[in-house]
Amino acid sequence: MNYRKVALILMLPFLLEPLVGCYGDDDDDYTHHYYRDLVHCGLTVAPLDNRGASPELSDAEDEFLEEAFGLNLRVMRQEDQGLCFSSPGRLSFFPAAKALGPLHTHIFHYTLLDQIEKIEIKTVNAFSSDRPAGSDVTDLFGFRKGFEYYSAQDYISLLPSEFTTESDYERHQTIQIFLMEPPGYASYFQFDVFIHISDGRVIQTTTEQYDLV
Amino acid sequence: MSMSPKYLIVAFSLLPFLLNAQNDTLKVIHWQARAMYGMNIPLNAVEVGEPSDELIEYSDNSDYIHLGATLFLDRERTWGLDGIIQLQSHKVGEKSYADFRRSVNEKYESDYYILQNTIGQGEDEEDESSPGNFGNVNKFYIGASYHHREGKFRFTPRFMVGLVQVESKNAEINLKRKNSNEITEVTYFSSKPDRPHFSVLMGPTVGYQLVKNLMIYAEFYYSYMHANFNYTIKERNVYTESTTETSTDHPNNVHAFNAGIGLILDLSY
Repeated sequence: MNYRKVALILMLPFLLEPLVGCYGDDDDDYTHHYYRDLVHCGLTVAPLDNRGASPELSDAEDEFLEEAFGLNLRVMRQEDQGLCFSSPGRLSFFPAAKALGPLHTHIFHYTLLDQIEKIEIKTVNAFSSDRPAGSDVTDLFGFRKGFEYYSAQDYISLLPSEFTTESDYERHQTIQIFLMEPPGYASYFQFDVFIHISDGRVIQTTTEQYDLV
Repeated sequence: MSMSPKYLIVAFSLLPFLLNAQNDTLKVIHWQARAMYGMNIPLNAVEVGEPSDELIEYSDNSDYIHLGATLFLDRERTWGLDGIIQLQSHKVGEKSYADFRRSVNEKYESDYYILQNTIGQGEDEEDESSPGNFGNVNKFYIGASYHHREGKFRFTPRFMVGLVQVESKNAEINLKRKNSNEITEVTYFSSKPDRPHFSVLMGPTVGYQLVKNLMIYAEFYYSYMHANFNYTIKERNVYTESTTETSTDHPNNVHAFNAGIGLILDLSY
């Protein structure tokens, strides 16, 4: 048996992969449309430091100015029956550089099969004299879109039921909320975040403790 | 009781004919067309140290192109009818926007980050990539001129009334307070819509006849414009929706000196 030929055949996928990766799709049509149905499936929360001109994602261990504190809610979406992860990977050893082929455009059309119906923020520890541990503090946060702040319900009404992107990595919904009425004293604070979905599910996560000064 | 500018214009239009009415022989009528280039030198400023200064087109030293026509009888001394269309250049596009941005920075940068500036009028808002569109200030005058001929020299004082079209734009600024989540929307509204402002112009022109139908001449005149620049500055906290309003009055009386040089083509018949 010619082991060289066998080795070559076995190596063939790896040898072709860079070429395929460089070339991208070989479709004659330069714009590719993908239609996908999504459902909400998960939630991650990270703290925002809003001292500067624009909010920045921070580490939970940092100190936060209570007047410039916010939370970045990343609501993940998955294809129905699919896996819940916000950045679907590409099953390839090499990313498609599309350096050799014509410039292809990929348009992803997403339809949401469920909707966010309510967002609730509850404080784990006592927030103020009239907001004991476990109380709802959603109204103390401003939900920001552009240069405007909205209440949670008004913000939800602005969320689309369909959207289009040029990247399959942008299927999640990012919601930035900011503490507009801080407690007025320095302490550690922790929040429970609840996302109520129209099919009755509640996606919930508890944040880490944040040191507000 | 104040007299409307419209009636003044009509009155001045008729003035030369009334003054010449006693003469029963209209021998030769001079039609003169003139084109000239000059400079506008403001004698007072409309600026008050606010960003709204940069939203008013009429503000700075500028050049002008003046197209005019005169009608008068062929005499050594006579009254005539004069009309002027003057296109006066002012800050345009990027310069007006850059000045506005600089002025906004000076006012707010100690306490705020400036997230966005937009200049525009109503729905015609323009963002940083397409800045303000100031261009020509259009001036229209009509009035009386006195023509004094002395050999090849011409001496022609004029008194004219007219209208000046000045654009004043609205603007919106989005501010974020430093070390805070607070966002404030600031809007500058021109309190009165753009409309022509009443103006008077007076001054001499001195001409010299180069050839039979062509003269070179220089003009010097003082102009006065009654302006009505007034801005309302509305600050809105976008979270609490609380608003405060302040008003900025710019000087109502605008005085300027103009000097120019040009050519006159005489179309007599």
